[in-house]
Amino acid sequence: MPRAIDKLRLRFQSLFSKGRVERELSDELRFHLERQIEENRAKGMSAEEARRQALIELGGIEQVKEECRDARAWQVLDETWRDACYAARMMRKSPGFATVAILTLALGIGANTAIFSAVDGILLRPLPYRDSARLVSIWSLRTQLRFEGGYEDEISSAEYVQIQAAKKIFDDVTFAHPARIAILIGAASPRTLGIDEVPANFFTTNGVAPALGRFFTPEDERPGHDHVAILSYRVWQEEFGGSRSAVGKTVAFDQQLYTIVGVMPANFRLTGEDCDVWVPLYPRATLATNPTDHRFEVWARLRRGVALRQAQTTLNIIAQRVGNEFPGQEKGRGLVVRPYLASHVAPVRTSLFLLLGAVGFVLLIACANLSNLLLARGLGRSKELAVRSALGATRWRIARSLLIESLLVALCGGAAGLLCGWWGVRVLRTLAPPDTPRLDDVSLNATVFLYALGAAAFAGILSGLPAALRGLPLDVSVALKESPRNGTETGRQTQWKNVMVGAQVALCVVLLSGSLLAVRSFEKLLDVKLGFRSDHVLAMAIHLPRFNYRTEAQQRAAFRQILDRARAAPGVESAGAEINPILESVGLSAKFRAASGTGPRGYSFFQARYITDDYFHALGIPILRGRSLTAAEVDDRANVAVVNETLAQRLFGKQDPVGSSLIEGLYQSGERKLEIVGVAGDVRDRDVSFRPRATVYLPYYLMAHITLMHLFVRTKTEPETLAATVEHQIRKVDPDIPIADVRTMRQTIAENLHTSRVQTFLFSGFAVLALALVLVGIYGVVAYSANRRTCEMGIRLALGARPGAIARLVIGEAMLPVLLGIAVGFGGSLALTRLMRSLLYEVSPGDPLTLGATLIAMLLAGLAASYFPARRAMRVDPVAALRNE
Amino acid sequence: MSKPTDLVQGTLALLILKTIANQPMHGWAIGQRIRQVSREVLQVNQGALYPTLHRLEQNGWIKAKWGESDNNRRAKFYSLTPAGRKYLEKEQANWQRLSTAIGLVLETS
Repeated sequence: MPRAIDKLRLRFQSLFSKGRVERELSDELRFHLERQIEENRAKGMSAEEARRQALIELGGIEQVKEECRDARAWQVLDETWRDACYAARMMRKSPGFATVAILTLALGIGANTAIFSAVDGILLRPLPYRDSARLVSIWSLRTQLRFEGGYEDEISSAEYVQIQAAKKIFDDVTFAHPARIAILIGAASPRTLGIDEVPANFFTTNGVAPALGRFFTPEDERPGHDHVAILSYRVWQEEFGGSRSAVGKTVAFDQQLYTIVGVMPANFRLTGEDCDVWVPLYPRATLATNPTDHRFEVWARLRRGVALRQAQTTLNIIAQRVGNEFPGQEKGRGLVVRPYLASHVAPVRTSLFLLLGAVGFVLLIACANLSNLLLARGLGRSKELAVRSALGATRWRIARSLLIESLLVALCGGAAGLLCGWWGVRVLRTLAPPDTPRLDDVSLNATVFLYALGAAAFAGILSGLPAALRGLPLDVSVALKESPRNGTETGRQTQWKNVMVGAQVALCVVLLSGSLLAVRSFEKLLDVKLGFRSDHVLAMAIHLPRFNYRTEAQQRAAFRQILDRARAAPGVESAGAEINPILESVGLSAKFRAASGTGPRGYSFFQARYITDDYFHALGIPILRGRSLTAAEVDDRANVAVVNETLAQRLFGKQDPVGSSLIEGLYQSGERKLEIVGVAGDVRDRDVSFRPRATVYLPYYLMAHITLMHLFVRTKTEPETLAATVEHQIRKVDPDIPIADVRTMRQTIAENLHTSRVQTFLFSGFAVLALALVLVGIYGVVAYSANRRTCEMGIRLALGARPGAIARLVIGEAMLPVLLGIAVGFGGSLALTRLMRSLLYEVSPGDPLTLGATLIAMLLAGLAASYFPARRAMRVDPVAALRNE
Repeated sequence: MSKPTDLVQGTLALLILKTIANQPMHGWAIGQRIRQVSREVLQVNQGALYPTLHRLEQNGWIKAKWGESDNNRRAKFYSLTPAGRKYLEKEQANWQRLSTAIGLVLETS
């Protein structure tokens, strides 16, 4: 190996430091001559004679030098360099060709670079945690509640205790417990902070280093020493201005004092939700073994050499054991382990890979264009190539020089593509939904650069090969006699061009149908009946500081006042509230059964939403039967409920449920009988694309000790304009109450559809790009061949062919590969668009409307591209055409 | 470029490698040494010596280093690389086999 490196070094030296090599060669030979002269003098020759003899013996300095140079030269590289210089001159001579070729590739490579940088940054690059490949996350699975839509939960403490004991599988198991929302008073306005409780091994397990200060040690877990906190980078910046002196300061969360010991790095985002502050929690002291508190986000570090499958097997056993230990609990709980990175980026994985496929297609289409362009150009240069061949260039040498030309074009395209990609990455980062994981890691880096280079080289070789392999005109004398315009195009070349056109049409059909599916799906999402009126609704989150509102009576009084104030604000029509806001979080899960009726006998888990009076009115949810909850029922915690249509249907069938009773099974203390007073319309409350679930609406205060309220205000005018007024009214109740997440319902829905919108936008953008490239490609081929056949057209016209027949001839020949391409593309589309099924809403991959639209679009594109060449062919002046020959 | 026949070229290379096997030498000294050792039978063509040296260096068999010559002038000294040493052993064995074979043929016929 060192020898190979030495050889390379020497070759590069002779190639790039020619000056030094030359100098050394002169020095070496001069030394030789001097020695030889000395020797000759010693033999008794005169100075003159000694020099002459020495030169004769050496055989001429220049000849020796030349032979030494030959011995050193790296011939292939030298020739390649000369070919590249030649290719550059050729490109300068035909700027039109160069511009079209480079631009075509720049678009293709730019799109690839941008999307690949996202794939690289999000999916491929390891996380910035030590040995991150061994980091796994563990989830609790509800196998029997598929219809509920909440398939995965966090881990319960009962499960955690068991997982932690599996020392043979995991080196370390840790968790984060999203403990509470604390209030920080002291900044400009009171703000809420998400606090996670973590054990000391949280940081060591994840293998992350603090940006400032230190992490927790086992010392910090001891009661009395545990009032220490680690800040997130964001809070450190916003509340402490990024000052290093923040460490050691004391800060009050909910009026409890904590000492800041450290700051997390900026890119640390392990948990799904944004966490602002970490505080220590000693695991065994506080962990009750409760099978229902699914609130622990659990990570573990696989023991070296343990496969993921082994870990899964162990977890299956643990899940069974937990199930046996707590037989009263819901059945069918499972545990699932995933590599941390994979589960972190799972939401965007499919769409990123599909996008990468889409831009790959765009690049292939661009290559097909370039390939045909180069073929046509090679044909125009038959004469030149024939001359070179006549002068002794081998076939291989000429093929190589053609290939180098296409590579040079491709590299220029790649450079321009990197610029496009740089811009594309910026666009992507602005477009991407803010909750996209690892968005900050998306950038142009060395890997992306190499990828772009690779894509350029691939494109250069792929598109240059047909022209290079086309072979030389075998009969040089014939080639030399031909006029450049009529250089013989063999049947094989025409066929090859048609194959290229067909291939790009097929690729475009796949892309186009895929993007049309995305558009159709998005259209359907926009048309979804949400079940509530999203216009004129203002939403906000209100946290009561627990330290000022200790008793339930105080909390209830404060909330009542806040509701009254909000309702009294000018421009407000009504206001209602609930605990978990729709479209942002799911309701709580509770088990219910009908007291009587024909429905299922046992308990089933349904969604429970705790609401205040006027909730339905504020959100515009229709009451179909009965009535909604009254203020008195809410305040007095009356045992009443409103159910939605789906639940009524499921438990009561065709019967009117109003007046019937529901039994709610409580976890600790038996059951509660609820009288159904009304039936509300179904609401898409989880996600715009999720079907409504069976839901029970209960009076707000049936939930004990709630200090959080999500307020919905229906306004008479535009909701944005009223935000400040309503906030001001609420602050009159207590200026220390933090108000967060003020937004309109329309904004919430827009955010909810953000991912679909971006996907649709990107897919259609790439499809349009592909269509444009195909249009240019077909046009180029048809125009070129029509142009070369000007004389033939002239003769046809002179012999009496009608112009219409000429146009039909040109268009007909152009459309043949297009039609074949469409047919192949349909097959590909049916096979490939299945992959995007998970991204689609209520549209299936074989959707006839989509395929029809694709067919029409491609036919139109083919006709449009061949129309102008056909028209030109029609208008050929026979006399002029023939005279030109 | 004029190429000496393979036999001559190969032989010269072999002689050079053998000559510098024990100590680094500059080009002129190599030529002198071959002449001396062969008792003036082998006259190294100086015109072919240097291209051969450069080719050997290019192939990685020998490496060059500038140093002081016996009369205090800067000269380019060539020495064997480990790869060159292996190559020399192999070629030497080849040569011996070949010359023995030729000798046998010449003696018997």
